[in-house]
Amino acid sequence: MANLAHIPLVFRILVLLSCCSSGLMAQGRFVKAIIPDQAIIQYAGSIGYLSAGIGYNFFKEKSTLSFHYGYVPKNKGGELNIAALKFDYKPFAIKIGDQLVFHPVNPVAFVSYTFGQQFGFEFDSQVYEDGYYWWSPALRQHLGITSELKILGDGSSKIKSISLYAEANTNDLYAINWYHDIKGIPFTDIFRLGFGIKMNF
Amino acid sequence: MRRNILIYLLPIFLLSCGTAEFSPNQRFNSGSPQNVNATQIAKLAQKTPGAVIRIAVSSDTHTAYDDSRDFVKYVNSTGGFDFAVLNGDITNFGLLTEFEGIEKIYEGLNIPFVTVIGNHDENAEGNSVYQRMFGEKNFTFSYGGIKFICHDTNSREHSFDGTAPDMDWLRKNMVPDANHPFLIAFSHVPSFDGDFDPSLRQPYEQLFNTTSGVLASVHSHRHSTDSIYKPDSTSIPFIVTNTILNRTFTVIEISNGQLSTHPVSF
Repeated sequence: MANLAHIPLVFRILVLLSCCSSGLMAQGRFVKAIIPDQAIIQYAGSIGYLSAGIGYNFFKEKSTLSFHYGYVPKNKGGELNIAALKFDYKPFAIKIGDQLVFHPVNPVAFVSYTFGQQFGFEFDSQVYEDGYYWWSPALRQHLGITSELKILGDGSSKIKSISLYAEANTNDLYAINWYHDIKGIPFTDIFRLGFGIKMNF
Repeated sequence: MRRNILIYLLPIFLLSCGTAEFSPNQRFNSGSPQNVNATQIAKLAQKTPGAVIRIAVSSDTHTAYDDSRDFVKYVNSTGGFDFAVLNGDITNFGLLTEFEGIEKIYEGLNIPFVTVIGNHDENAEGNSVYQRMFGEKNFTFSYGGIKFICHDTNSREHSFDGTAPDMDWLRKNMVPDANHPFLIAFSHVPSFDGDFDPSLRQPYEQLFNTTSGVLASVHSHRHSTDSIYKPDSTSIPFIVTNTILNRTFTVIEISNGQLSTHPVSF
C-alpha cells in the first residue's frame, strides 16, 4: 500500500470506488452524481465582489446545495477570500408562458468563511480567556430570501435553462446588533443584496 | 390571487431596502466616509475657545444607535460644549457597517467630535476600517492652549507584544510647549486594567506623572460609574468614564489649567 502515497488523492478515490462498485455501470452513476446540476456566478451578496459556485439539486429541484468561492479585490474593500456553502428551498414555482418559471420567495441559509490572519475560527486562546469574545471572526451564518426567474432553453443546448436571481441576506452578527437595538436599527437595514446567474445543466 | 400578490411583494420589499455588500468584513465601500478625525479637528480649529473649555466625553457606543442618537440630541439641545470625544468601542465586532452607523449618528452633532479606537474596534478588519474612516490610531490635536494626546491602549488586541501603547510615540508627543502648556490624554483601556500590557504599565504611568502640564488621562472600557485613579499626590488623575449604553457621558471642564469632571445622564 505504501507506494499508493505517490498517487494523487483524487485518483486513488476514483480507483477505490471503481474497485468497490460492480463495474462500469456504477462508475457511470458516480460520475453522473458528482457532475454539478448548475454553475453559478454571483455579484456581491456578502460572499465576495464576485463569486463562482457549483450547485446540486435535491427534492425534485425544489432545493439546491451549492459551494461558492468569492473574492473581494483591494480596490473594492479587500483583499478578502471567502468560501461559502448555501442551501435554498423553492416552495413556489409560477409558470409564465412556456419559457419562464418564477420562484418568487425562496428561503436560503448559508455559512461563509473568510480566510486570512485577521480571521481565526476562534480568537487566540493564548491571548483571550474563554468567552472574552464569544463569536468567530471567520465564520458567519447567514439567512436570507432569494427571488429567481428561470428562462427555459429549447433543449438543443447542454445548458437546459438560465436562472437570474436576487438575494437579500443578513448574518448572525447583524441580527444580534439588531436584537440589542430594535428601536435604533430598522429590521430591513440588516439585509444586504446580491445578484447572480445560474446555468442549469 | 391575493396570496400570490403578497408572495410577489415580499422580495420586492426586501430588495428595495438593502444595499449590495461584498463582505461584512470589507474595509470600505463606495460611500464610506474618510479622514473623519482630520475633518472634525479642522472644524474645531475654526472655533474660538472661551475662558472655560467644555468637552462632552462619550464612550462605548457598541453599535447602540438608539442611545447614541439620544446622546447627540441631548448634547445639541443643551449646547455649551466645545467638542465631543468618542473614546473607543464604537462597534461590537469591528465591522464596517457598525463604524458607518455610529459615525453617521455623530455627524449629527452640532459640535466637532474626535474618535479614539477601542478594543472591540480592532477585531477582524476593524483596524483597517478605523484607519481609513477616522485616520491614525495615535494622533494629537490642540485647542485653547491644551494639547490632546489620543492613542491606542488596546494591548490585548496586539497580543501584549509591547507595541500598544506605543511608548516611543508617546514620549515624542507628550511634550508641552509655550503655546500649549497643558496636556490631556484620551485612550480606551486604562493602564490599571487587565487588558493593558502589564509590562508597559509602570513606564506609561511614570511618563504621565512626570511630564509637566498633564491635567488628566481619560479612559473608558469598564462600563461603570465614573471613577478617578490617583494613588498619591504626585499622580495625575486617571479618569475612567461610563458608557453610552448606560445613557451617561462625562463633562470635562478646564479653566485656568484646572480640570474638573462630572457625569451627566440623558
